[in-house]
Amino acid sequence: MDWVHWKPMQCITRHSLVWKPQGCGARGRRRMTWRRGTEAEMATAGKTWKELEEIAQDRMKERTFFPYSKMAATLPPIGSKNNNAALRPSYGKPKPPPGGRLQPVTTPANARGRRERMDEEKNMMLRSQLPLLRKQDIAKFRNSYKHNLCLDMLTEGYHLSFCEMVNLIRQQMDLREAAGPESFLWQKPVLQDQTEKLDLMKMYLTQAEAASRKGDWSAEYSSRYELAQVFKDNPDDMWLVDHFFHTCLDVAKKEIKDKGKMQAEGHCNVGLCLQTKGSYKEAAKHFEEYHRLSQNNKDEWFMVNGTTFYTDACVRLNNIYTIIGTELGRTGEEEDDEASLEILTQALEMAKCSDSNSEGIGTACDAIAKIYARQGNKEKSVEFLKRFVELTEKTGLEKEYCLACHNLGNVCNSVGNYDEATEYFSKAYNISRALGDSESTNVNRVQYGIAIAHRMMGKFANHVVIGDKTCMSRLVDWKSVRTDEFSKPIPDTVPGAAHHVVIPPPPPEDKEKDEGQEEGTEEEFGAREEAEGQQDESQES
Amino acid sequence: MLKYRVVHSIEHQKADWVGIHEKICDKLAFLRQQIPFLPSREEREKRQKQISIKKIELIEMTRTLAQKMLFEGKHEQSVPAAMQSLRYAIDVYGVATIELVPSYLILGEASIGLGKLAQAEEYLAKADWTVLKTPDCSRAIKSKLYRNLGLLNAAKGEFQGALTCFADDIYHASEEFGTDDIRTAGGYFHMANVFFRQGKMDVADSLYRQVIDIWHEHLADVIKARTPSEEEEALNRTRVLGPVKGMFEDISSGMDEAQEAEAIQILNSIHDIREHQTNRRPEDLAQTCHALAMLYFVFHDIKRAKEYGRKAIVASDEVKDDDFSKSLVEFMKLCEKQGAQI
Repeated sequence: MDWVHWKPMQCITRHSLVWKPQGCGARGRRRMTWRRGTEAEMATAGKTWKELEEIAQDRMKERTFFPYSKMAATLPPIGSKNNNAALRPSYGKPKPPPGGRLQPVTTPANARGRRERMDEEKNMMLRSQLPLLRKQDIAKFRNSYKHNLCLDMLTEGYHLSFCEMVNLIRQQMDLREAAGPESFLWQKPVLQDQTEKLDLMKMYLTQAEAASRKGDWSAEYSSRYELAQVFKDNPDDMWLVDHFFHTCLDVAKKEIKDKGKMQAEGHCNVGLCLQTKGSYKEAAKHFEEYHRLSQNNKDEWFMVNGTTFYTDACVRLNNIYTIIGTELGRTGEEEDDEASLEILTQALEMAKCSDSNSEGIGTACDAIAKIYARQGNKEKSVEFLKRFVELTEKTGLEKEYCLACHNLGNVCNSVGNYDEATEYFSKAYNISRALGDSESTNVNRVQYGIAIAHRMMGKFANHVVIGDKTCMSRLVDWKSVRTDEFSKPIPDTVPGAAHHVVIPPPPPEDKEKDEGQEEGTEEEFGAREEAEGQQDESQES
Repeated sequence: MLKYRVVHSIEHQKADWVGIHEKICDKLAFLRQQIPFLPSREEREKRQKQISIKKIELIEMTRTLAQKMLFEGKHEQSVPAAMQSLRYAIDVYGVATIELVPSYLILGEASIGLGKLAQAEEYLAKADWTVLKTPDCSRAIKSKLYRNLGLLNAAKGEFQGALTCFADDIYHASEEFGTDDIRTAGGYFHMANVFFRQGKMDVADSLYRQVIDIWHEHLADVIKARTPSEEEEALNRTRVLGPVKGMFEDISSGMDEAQEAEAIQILNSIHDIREHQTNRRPEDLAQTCHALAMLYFVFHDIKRAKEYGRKAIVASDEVKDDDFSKSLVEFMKLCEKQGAQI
């Protein structure tokens, strides 16, 4: 029974166990069949046939359980060539002895036998040609991919690479464990299952280790840098990029010969990583270091695209300062405002240091202006915004120009300088229309409308206050013309509203201030405000 | 009953001649005493449980003892202890179980040490087979098995095979304990020895360096954890009626005996290598000396600790590393204090 169970399920011999031998003549039939004996044992042991099959899987147990079946020889497989005779009804003929071990004596070497022998010889020959399996070959099948990779690295002597890789893999697994099984991290593929990545890592890390053993830091740096570049494209692998850039920097610090060029580059890369991660303060520190190193060699170090390291450092510093400044400014507290102003001025200076970086200057100016506007220092704000506008006008950056005009218009509007506000908003409106940016077009259109209305408001109020005949007629004229003009966007409010207005409008200055403040908050809401703005106005009239 | 007594005394004497006697005697006495007549079933079960707990304790103890003797180089003397552990392990767990593997491994290692490679191979093959048949066997055991197989290969002179085995050892150990654990360091050390014998000095050097780093860090941690910080010291001084206790009394190594012996063996042999190396880096020797000094400090051997500390200071003169010199100076101060207290 035992060996049959090692055969696959479909194999006929396995099924044959439950068959009764067919067609056995009464004479040759044994009193006690294998099946009967086994069944008797089964009954005494209190097991079912299924249970017996399970027991039979384990050869050790089987020995103790099946004394009878071990006494009887194993059942010959049905259907195999040599034993056909045994199963055919054998009337009168004596049966061959039970058990497949004793082959019935057949006719001496006929054609089939010879062929079989030849086949066997051929098989033996083929088998002898196969290479012997060594321990390593077996291990290759038995172990996981990562395991084999690690073994390769270690036997070649690259133990530091091994440590680094194992620790990285473990770091990821720990992160996953810490995040809990419901975290989205579990949906992402794990590093240890991504064989190509592991291969790449192995290649570059071993290169790096070999280089570092020789003390060739630049080679180590470059292979680590390459590795970081490989992972750069996949957002899931940013932590790897991080790690390798950090190690790059560590390596670069060891190199003294090149006056710190490599170190500068390393600082730049780490800074960029930190910036994308959102830890701006630390990023700024690295960029400062980058700036400091590159300052001494302004004219010697060039990047691939021809710009000097120094310019690059200035641009990056400016960027990071602007970000930090605006971040600080957003919280809206007094000290933060001061601090952010300081940082933004630094940003401005950095932008000035690097030639041809009007964009940077522009954004810095813009940010500074915003802070000033929040502090209530409108003049300064206007000053910086004007610089921004000038700059963008000169360089021809349409989008920035549009933004600059818009912001300047806003500030002018809030100060009460409606003439300029209208001017700038009209500029912004035109540009955004030319650019085809529907969102900014809408916003600018509204703002433009509001600014025009505001400009008109003063004169209008004047007329109302004076209230003599000409004024009245003018007002009526204007009113009629205006109704004609504006009837399309707001058909019902204007004529209806005119009747309801009874109270004279408050003094123009107060009213303007109110309006201005309202405007400041309103600017983001876009088109919805359009109707309201118009409504207010018509009510006041 | 008489027969039982005789067997007892012979076995006892056998265990006796190597000096593991006083350590295991009382436990053996408990196990070998006559089975008292216990009428109730509960009592019998209770006693059974007690006996098996004692046996497991005995197994652990004899194993650690044997391992320690191995690290001390007393291969012959470790055999009886290992045999004792194996005997009781078979008694408790059965014939072909994973619990026997550590004993087999110790026996294998002892045989390697005694030069009986065929016998060692036999023991290790048994262990290997058991591990193979136990799919959920712990990585710690696998690591130990591969370490011993590696040693066997190295003793036979099959360096490539030895490297593969040690690689497996390191892999399993780092999966279990982390790459920078003292239990992984042994694998690195043996691997370094193989590279050393192959003549690949750069690889061996870097491996030795890692081993020293691991031990250095571990010992520094031990000392740091066991030494009271400044504030605690101040607190002790202000406390008038507190128990008068030596401040370093509770410094113990935090390792078992086998690990202590391993530390001594590994660090000393690396120190020897470094001393005889002509083209070594100065910081390597300094760090090795410092690690050794810390080790002896942890063992309360202040004299040797100071000696190695001084060596480390001499060696570190060539190194321009302020942090390292500072830690050395601090360590020497600690030594002085401790020495004064004794």
